[in-house]
Amino acid sequence: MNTESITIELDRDVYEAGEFLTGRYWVDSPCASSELHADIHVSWQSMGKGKTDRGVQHRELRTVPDGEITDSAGGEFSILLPASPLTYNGVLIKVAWCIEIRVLAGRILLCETTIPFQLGHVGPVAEVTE
Amino acid sequence: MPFDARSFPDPPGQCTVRVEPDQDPLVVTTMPSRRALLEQLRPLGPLGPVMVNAGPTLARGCSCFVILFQAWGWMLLLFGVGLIGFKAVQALIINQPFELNGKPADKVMTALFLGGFLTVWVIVCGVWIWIVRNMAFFPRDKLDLHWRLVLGADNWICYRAGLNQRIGHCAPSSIDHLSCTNTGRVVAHLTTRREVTLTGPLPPLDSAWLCNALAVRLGREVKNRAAAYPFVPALAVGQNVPATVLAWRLKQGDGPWRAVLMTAGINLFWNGIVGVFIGVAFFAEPKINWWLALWMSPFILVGLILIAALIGTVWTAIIQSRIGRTSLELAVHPLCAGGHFPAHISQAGPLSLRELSIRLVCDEVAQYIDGTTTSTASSRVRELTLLTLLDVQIQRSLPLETSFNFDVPSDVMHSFDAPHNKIQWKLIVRGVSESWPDYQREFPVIIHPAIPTRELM
Repeated sequence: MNTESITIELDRDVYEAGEFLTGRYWVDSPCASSELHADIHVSWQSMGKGKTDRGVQHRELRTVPDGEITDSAGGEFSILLPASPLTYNGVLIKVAWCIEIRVLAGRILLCETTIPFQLGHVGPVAEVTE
Repeated sequence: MPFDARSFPDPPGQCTVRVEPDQDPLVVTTMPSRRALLEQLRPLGPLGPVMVNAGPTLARGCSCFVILFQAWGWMLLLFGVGLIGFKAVQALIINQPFELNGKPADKVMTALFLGGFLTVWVIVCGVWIWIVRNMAFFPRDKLDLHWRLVLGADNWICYRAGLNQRIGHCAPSSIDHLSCTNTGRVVAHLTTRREVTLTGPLPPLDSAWLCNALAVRLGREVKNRAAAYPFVPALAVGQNVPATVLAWRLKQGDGPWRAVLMTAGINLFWNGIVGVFIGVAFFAEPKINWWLALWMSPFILVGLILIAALIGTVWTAIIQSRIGRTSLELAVHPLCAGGHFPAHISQAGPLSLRELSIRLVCDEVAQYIDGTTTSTASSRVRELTLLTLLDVQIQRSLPLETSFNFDVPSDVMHSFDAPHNKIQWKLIVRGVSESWPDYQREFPVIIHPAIPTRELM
């Protein structure tokens, strides 16, 4: 049974388009016997009535360096966010952004965590009837 | 100029184009990497790697269907032309008797019959070949969806994915400038005035980035370079027409005769088939076949509803076309969230309107699966009234000409165009007339996100 767990901490919950998504992650109780890799994804996906659409803004495979604390390891990230699509909470369509980090030992998935964040400031909408 | 992967810029986030690592000459492609394919097919278990390995062979095998289907059309065409030509020579030159409905026909009748038959045959075969090439079976944009562009020192060649079929090729030294088409293909305009397609269709951001990357490396200019954002639609060719008062005249999105054509086509298909059965039931035999007539009654009812719908759409189209031309001009297009924009409307008369309004509306359009069919749902989520004019009298010789300014709020969602979900903005001109039924004209617009685009390179 895996004992590892990963924690992601973002500097903010809301980011502007074109800003850097900044934060850090750390793996608790890493397995000391093998090299760990962090697979970092920043992506959006549509939700709602329609079929799901997806877009990956950033993907990176990093080796998790040993932390100063003996029972955890991790790193920081700073990822440029795009101009679009902005986070949107519509009637039929919703667009949600998230950062997902998966920790792998070789090809074995140890743990994964996803944290949503907001890109831009699109106001609320409601269905307009004639 | 030779390329190497180190000197070629990295594609931006969300870009579907990738530069293949460790390739000489450099290869740019939209084909997913083997690793990405394996990851996508991981839910299939051991079948995944088998499918990935079999992919290129399948692609090569299936690519012959295009040629086979086209060859079938050409064979039928040649066979028909040959046979009818042979019959014509027999009847008209060698004077052999030609029979129509069991009776010998004179030369004029023979020529008319064979000429008509030849025309129908050529049209049917031509339509088949055209459909195979462009429409239902093998549309070029779908065949070219995955491609790879090999950027050699002396020759640039674009191949269809996994195949040796060329989409286009040219010498880089012969390129005058590069541009993007309506469907997002990158096109090289040669010094000889020839155009060569260098890629398959791409989303606006991807084609803008690749076009720019190739042009910068060649030291050539990019014509019609526009701001490009991920999943924001680009301006279609012809959507902006140079105008007289302001910079751009918008193209009307909803043509009334388009609905008439569609309804007429459905009517022709449905009532054509039903008509054959009615003919058989009522006229084929001396006695009416009441069982067949009864069995056909629900289909006849649907046919009658379709005829009523056709009459309705024709009536609406006549009303719409009798109301004078509406022209909407903008100083800037695409618009952007948080911007302030001058606009101008021109409405031809004669018209007597109780109210003329212009609204900026936002529609969400989502494609979803309902059972075994794919349906589309639409919802209007934002509506901003930009201008309202009351008691408008428009003379035939003096169209209504009004300029106005409007703001696009900064918190609106930008235009969005993903494969299954779309957010569409449009300007709607609506007239409430005293003597005519109300009319409405739609002008699609594109709204960009609020921030300025960053450099694509």
